[in-house]
Amino acid sequence: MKTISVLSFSFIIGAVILITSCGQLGDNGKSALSSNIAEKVYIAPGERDEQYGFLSGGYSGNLTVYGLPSGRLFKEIPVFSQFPTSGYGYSEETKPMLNTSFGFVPWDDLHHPDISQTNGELDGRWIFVNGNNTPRIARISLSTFETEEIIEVPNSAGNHSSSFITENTEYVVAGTRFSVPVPQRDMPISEYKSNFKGALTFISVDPAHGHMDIKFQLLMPGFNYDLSHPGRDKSHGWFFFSTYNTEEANTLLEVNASQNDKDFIAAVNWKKIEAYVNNGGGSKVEAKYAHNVYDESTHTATSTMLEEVLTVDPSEVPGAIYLLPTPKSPHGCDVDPSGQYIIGSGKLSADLTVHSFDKMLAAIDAQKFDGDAYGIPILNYEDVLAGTVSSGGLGPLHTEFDGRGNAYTTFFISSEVVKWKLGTWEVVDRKPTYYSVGHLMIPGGNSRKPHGKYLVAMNKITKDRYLPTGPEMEHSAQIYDISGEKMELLYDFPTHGEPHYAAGCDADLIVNNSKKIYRLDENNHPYAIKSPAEARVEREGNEVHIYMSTIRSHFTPDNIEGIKVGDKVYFHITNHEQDFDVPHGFSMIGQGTSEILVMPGQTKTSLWEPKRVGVWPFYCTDFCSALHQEMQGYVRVSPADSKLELSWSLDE
Amino acid sequence: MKKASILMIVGSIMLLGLFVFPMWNIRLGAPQYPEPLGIDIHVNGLKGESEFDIQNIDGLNHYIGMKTLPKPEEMWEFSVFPKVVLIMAFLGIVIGVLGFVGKVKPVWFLIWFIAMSALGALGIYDFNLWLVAYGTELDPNAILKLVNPDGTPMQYNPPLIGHKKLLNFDAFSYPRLGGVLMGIGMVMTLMAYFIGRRSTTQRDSAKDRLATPVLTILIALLISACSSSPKPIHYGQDACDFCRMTIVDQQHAAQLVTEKGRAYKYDAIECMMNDLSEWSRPAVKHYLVSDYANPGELTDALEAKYLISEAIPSPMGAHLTAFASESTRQKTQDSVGGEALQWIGLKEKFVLN
Repeated sequence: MKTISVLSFSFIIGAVILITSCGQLGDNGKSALSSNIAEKVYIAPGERDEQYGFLSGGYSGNLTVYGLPSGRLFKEIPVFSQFPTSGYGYSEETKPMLNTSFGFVPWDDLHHPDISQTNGELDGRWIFVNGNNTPRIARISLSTFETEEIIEVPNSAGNHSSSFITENTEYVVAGTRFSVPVPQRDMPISEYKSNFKGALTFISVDPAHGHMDIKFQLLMPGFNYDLSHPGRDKSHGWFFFSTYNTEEANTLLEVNASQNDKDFIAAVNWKKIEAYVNNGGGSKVEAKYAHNVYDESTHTATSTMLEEVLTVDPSEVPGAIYLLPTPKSPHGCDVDPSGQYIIGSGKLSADLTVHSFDKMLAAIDAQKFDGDAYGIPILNYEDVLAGTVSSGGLGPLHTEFDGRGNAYTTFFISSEVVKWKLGTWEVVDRKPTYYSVGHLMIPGGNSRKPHGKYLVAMNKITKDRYLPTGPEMEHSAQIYDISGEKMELLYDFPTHGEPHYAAGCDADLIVNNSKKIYRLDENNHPYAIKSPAEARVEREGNEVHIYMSTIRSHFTPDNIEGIKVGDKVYFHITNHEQDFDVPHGFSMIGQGTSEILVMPGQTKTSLWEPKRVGVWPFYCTDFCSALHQEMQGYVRVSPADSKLELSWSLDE
Repeated sequence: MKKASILMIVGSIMLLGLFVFPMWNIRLGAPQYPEPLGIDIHVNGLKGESEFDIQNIDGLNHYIGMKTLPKPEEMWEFSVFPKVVLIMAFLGIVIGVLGFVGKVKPVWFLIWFIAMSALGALGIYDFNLWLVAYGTELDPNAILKLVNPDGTPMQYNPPLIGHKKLLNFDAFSYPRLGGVLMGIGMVMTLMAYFIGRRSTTQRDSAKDRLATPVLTILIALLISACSSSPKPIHYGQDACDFCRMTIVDQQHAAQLVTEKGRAYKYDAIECMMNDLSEWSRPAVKHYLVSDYANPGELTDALEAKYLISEAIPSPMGAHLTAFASESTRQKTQDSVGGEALQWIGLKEKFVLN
């Protein structure tokens, strides 16, 4: 009797514990209280983070810079979108950055940041990103944290299997997700099959200054090229692209592109094609695309329209491309730090397919093929398979590596990160994400040498993770400590736009190269003035150029007369400060553009087309000093037929 | 005498370090300048510690109407001083060489030392004149015209040596390698005199003679060492070294003086205690707190009697007050209530060891 009452008592206690622990805190809430997790992400005031995280901003068109592990946002770098905060895409100097063969395109869908590498290790010089919508690749300097170059990718559409780099930054690679007619032409959509092409574009990167140039475009069968990664170490020289829609459907792809049990990972021996091209191979075809370069010394971008591109038909270079059958419409296509394993994530599957590079080479040597697709040999699935990870999850997307023999894969449908061992394929840990994780990032996790202490999971669905902000919410990321055997969820933080992948690295790699000012004595902007004594206003017809300088806290000149309705007035503003973090801004009442923010030593130009007679004030938009409120000026606008001469002054 | 002469030559040569390294340095740090702005004073002109420091100091100083920092051609000192240093170094070397070959007596070493000291004193006097002029001759149309509580215009001359608070800036003024080398060089020439004299007089009484230079150097060191005594608190001007707020409450201010003589001032006793709880600076020699009964009077914190009472607010909200006398504390506690504490108890409250 006594035993029974003790049993029932403990049953009741157990039930109470169960019920009370069923709150919505779940796993993460409890563990944060029961251990010292808070200390792991707490960066005390004045202390700095260990690592940088560069998160794609997706449809914001921009790249965001975060500190890890704190999740603090440091900067939003404008890349493909106009950005009123700095005047990027609004200032006369930066408008050319957004020029394309379609004209001025002030937005894009930014995906897949990748940091430049030397010998397969991050070198922290540049970061490359792709514009998905109007195919473009951008290069961002990691000394100025500014976009320095954007090259449009012709013959491409849905520039998604981009912008991944080879292990010495020889190439940044851009693959098309949507196949299109090449060259573009007026033709029935229903004739897609065998007529549309998928262009894989290899863009060379100049090792000294990073300038990009399209070396060649590989015109592949009309599949959808989804993601890609370079071979590294032993597989350096190859590039791997996941494909779906090998059915070549052109409508209701949701169903029609999910019919084949296996699609392919395309293995491209780019060194072989490079040699072919260097020997005069390939054919030049007409293709209009823009190449926009920002020059740090003139603080000005120029846009050049290019007219042709070198294309290569796979059949011209036999032995350069093979297809590796991969189940269930693979999405992620990731290569481990040793270069041996190529992981295909069949996004409609529970399992991951891991191909072996060595087995692939052996199969190629043995010429063991299972037919071909448009002349490209297909290898036998069993011949190249290294193993299958039976994950127990659903909807695998992307895999990163910690450099200690472990791989981490995100599962969109089952909302989790799964840790598994390379070689044995056993699952060793899994942790939930909140919710529906897309990409994940381990700093350096797609290089030979991951900086594998933290893992950032970027989720597509936020729901109840933060205080509600109406129907539209920022996405949410989670950071996990992966230094131990088990992953530990540390922290949630909101992310801007929709991160599609991220790149990260130890802070040391970047901190000391980060510029503090631009040197005024190295400013070669044609409208720069090096001293306030050079300040002046010049008229050329109805164009008026104002050579203006700023220093705490006044504009020189700050009184300007002789401007007329209908003039195009260019304010060329040079910031004469040479002190860290002292920008000045400029904005003019009624101006149909954004303000500009001019960094120390820099020159930027703001265009104003006055429409009304009057005396109109302008002011500094950045609280530059205690006398910032005094930093203002006036422009007198006279009627179009006024005879008033130009005049300008400061303190007269 | 040969040893002494070599010392004399080497000591004189060390003056030439002034042509390579800065003689003096003034550094200005503020919350928004975590990397301080600095001026290196060379014998022939001013240089920024970082490339644009001079420009940035001038930019800040224009608010308070200070003149821009002088270019070499704007001050005669920068053309005369190098010549004086060259001539003195040359003379010192010549005297040393002459001593080495036995042509002059050690007293010439002393004469050189006295001459150099006089010139040095003149130089420092002149430097101070410039500092005062620089900090006080302000543009009457300055943007910010600040006055002291007594109505006199605020002055901004950096300290000749040591630390001074200038508005939001902490100014530090100390010798740099060139100046240090000069100092060492001069001490060497003085030693040269004593050693030279000893060797030229009776050799057998060398031991007694050795005492003289050692003593002299010790005395010189003692005189030049900082005095470790409390510093006056300028109410309404000085900022709390812990919370950065201006010290105004004469009944609650506090001060710590380290063994090196540096004083740290606080607007409240709780700030001092909080600062002590994470103290990593040189050891503290004096602990001082305001006597509540005698505003503006500091008393020994270790002996003081404390009261924590809701009825007596203190600047940083700890309601913590100190009294020099036990009876006054008792009277106050009787009338307003609260918790009485000794230094030991106070330390426990602020978790100190």
